[in-house]
Amino acid sequence: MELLRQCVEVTRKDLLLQWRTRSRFASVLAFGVTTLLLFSFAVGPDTTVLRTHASGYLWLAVLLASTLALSESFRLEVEHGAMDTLRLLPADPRVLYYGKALANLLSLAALAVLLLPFMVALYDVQVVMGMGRLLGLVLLGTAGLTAPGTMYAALAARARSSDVLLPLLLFPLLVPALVAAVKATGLVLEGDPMDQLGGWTGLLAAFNVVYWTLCGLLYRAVIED
Amino acid sequence: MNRVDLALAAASVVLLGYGTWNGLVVAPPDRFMGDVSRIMYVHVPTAWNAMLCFTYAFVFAVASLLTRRPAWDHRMEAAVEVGLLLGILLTVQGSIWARPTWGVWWDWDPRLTSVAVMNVMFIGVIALRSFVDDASSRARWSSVATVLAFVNVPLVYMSVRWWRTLHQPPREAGGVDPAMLLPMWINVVGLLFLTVLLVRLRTRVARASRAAELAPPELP
Amino acid sequence: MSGVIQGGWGYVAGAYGITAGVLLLYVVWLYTRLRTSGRSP
Repeated sequence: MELLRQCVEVTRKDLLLQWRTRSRFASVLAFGVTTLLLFSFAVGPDTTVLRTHASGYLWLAVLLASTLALSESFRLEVEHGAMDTLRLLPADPRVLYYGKALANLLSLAALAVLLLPFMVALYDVQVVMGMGRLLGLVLLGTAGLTAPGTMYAALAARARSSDVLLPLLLFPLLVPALVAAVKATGLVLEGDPMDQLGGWTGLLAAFNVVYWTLCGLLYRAVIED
Repeated sequence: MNRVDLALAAASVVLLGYGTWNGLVVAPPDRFMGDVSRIMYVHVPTAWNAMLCFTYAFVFAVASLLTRRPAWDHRMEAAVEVGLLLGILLTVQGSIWARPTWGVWWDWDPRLTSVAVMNVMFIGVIALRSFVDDASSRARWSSVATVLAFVNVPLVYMSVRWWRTLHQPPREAGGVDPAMLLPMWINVVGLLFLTVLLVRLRTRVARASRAAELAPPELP
Repeated sequence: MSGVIQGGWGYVAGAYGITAGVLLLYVVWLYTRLRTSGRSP
């Protein structure tokens, strides 16, 4: 399928760009770790409290770090006027969106996974329901973050005060995904005696379906002139 | 202000006047909540009309994206602003209601919390509009943001409702005395006329702003 | 359930007052904007 091949090409391009600026990724990761540390200092050294809310701190750290990563993903295009060039290519805007979003997903998921050992160490958590489920949730949660995040990053990159605009637009929109991801991750870490995991995962999945579809459809309106 | 505007204004003043008087003086106090329950005669109308405005904003946003006509953008700009105004009022009213009722200024009621999140999303749309100088980009991008925000509302509601019931049992919604329904519905319709009037006036302001934006600069 | 909540009129006045006040201010603001924009060249 031609569209799929083009999409993979776009993803490859973005991943290559990210690889070339991998020192930036390291800095964003360091930012994430620092955020996790700050939560500990803000909340206090009570291990019980930290352990209970560990999944909340993790997802907040991922969320905050993601604004840096997402805005960076469009900086190169905007700086070099490449947005117009990309638009003039005979490629469907959907291909541009999904390609970019997939690249962002891979790097944000990598970021979140790399934060996991720090979470385990700082907040003394165990992964009661297994690493497989935890990793799956991390992927699903970052996917929920990436879909509207890529959309708003494209939009904010071309507006003024883009550094404020991206979190202002993105964060309230992510409330359902944040609630579901934090709850589900918490259950995976501490156990799920009342069998609620399916429900929260379902909500997170629904969020993903809605926004991955909708953003793909609307991307044309964002990048065209 | 043309004839339709005056008619809307007159109708809303009459209805809101009567409904408020009825609600404050004639209607009985609630069995448990006493006179505090009278807040509902302004709270429920505000809720209905805020949600209606946000729905208008969504419809106008879709129309704007499909037709690219500025008229839809003006209407959307108006609906977003009036909706946000009503949404903020709704949140404040909800807080005033919560304090004597539940003893706290905010009790994470799913509906009110959803409105609070919606308010922030629509503040974001307004901020976006202020940071984009080109009118056609502004129309397209804020329409996209409005669509994404509106679609989010049921998701927010579901997540907050479930999140909260895990910690507290759901509150029962009692039945409403029929004598209380009359002032409530009168005010709903009265506020509806006012809301429509406000959106019409604000649309005109939007159109005038755009015209001023596009007008050539004055000669010295 | 405890007894009837007493003295709620303060809260009622607050809710109605803020709502009416803000809406009134908004109407005035809109009206002012329309009048001045009508005069601009």
